Amino acid sequence: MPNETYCIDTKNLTKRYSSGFTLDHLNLQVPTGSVMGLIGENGAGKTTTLKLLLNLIKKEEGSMRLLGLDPEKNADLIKEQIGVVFDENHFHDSFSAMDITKIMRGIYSNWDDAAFQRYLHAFQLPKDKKCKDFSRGMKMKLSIAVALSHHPKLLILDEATSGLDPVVRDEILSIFFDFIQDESHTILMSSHITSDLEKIADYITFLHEGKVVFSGVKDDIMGQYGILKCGSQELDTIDPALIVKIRKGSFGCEALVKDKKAARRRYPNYVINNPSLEDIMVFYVKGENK
Amino acid sequence: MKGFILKEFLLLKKGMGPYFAFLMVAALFFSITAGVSATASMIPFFFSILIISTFSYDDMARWDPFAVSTPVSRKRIVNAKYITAFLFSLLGALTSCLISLVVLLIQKQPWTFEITLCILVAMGSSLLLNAVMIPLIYRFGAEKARLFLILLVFIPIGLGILAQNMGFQISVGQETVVSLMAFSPVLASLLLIPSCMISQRIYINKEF
Repeated sequence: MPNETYCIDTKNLTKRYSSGFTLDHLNLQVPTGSVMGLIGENGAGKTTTLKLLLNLIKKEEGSMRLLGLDPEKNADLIKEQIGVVFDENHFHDSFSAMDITKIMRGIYSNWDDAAFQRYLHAFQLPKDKKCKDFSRGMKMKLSIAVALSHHPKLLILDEATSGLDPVVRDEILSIFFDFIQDESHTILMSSHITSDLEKIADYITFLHEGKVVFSGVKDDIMGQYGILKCGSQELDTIDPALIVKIRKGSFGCEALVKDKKAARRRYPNYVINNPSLEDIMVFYVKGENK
Repeated sequence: MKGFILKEFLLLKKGMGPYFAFLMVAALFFSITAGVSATASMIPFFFSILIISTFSYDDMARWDPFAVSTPVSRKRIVNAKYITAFLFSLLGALTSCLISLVVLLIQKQPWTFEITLCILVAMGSSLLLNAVMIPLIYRFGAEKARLFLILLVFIPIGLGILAQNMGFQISVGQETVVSLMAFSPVLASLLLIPSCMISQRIYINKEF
């Protein structure tokens, strides 16, 4: 397997649906050894992106490389190195964890029974109970155990923590932290729960209506943006070049500014708060232009 | 690919266990009351329909997105289904032989060539059914394909009755008919090859 700077590298990746939605010339680079968070509102193109990477759907334009290899020529080799966790369970209700390990042994050449047993023990998952009797959290942990037990280099997670309680989410994030300690391991994770990404992600890519709004180092993004609070009349005095989007409320306005430090220097009398990823996302989706 | 074949047999074991027990008892009963040949020809047919059930189970579990994300190529996923379909038919034929033997032992009757032919024809028919049905399932899904199953069973029967009523006759020697019947599993197995190629083409172009 080539030693690549980028674990995932897409150029102008495009997918058009008859509904009118288009994933529009996506350029996504996920550095090896990092955690990339993929955020966006429902229908933004997150799942479409992951499906294209996994060859579940066909691209119409563009190219991609995973783990330094061309997926069209080396699909089997790449998929041996990818662990996938979807937002829902894909194992038959009548199967138990022991059934699943027998099946996976015949699918993945690197399948590690001992590792799977260790994960079952760590996640407190029963070996012989059928999947239909598992709670949602248990099903997700089972999917993660399967994804990790063939020693992948890349984890692709599509809303893997959605619908889970905070305790289970914390457990699962700890597992991902352990996974990423190996510098050759990479995670691409789509999530609506931006607080999880704030904890674990190194990089964030924000998709909106099929296009990349921004993509970069999470700490830089969080350090760059600010929320300036002012009155409606005061908003007119703010330089439009600083403002990304505005939101008007009953008691005043809020403006998402892209350069928080510059805004604080120029407008020291205004309150400029640090936004969360969720705040930034909501401004881009719901905010107005000045 | 081994994992996918094992998956089908595990589904069979877990999903159909109680039905098998009922089937075996019913088959034994009807063999004794209605005759071995009739029951011997039904069992392989029943086993062949089981492969359709595995498609339904896959749909319920939304298994395909996960399957396609594994290192097993789409072609080999389809191959696994066909290999399983063949093995199910073979299992059905062997089960039929076993039940027939048990009944004949109870009745102290000898094994006849007629029973062998019935089992072979049943196996051949079930393989032929799979060769036609599986591409339809890949194209239209398990639920819609069941409607085609009904048509596939009743259309030949209807055509046969129509031909008989119209006095239509085919002059074929008995030896030819017996040979065709005896070799029907082999002939039907050969049809599985183009069927598999069609299914592969459909599955390769599917999006999940």
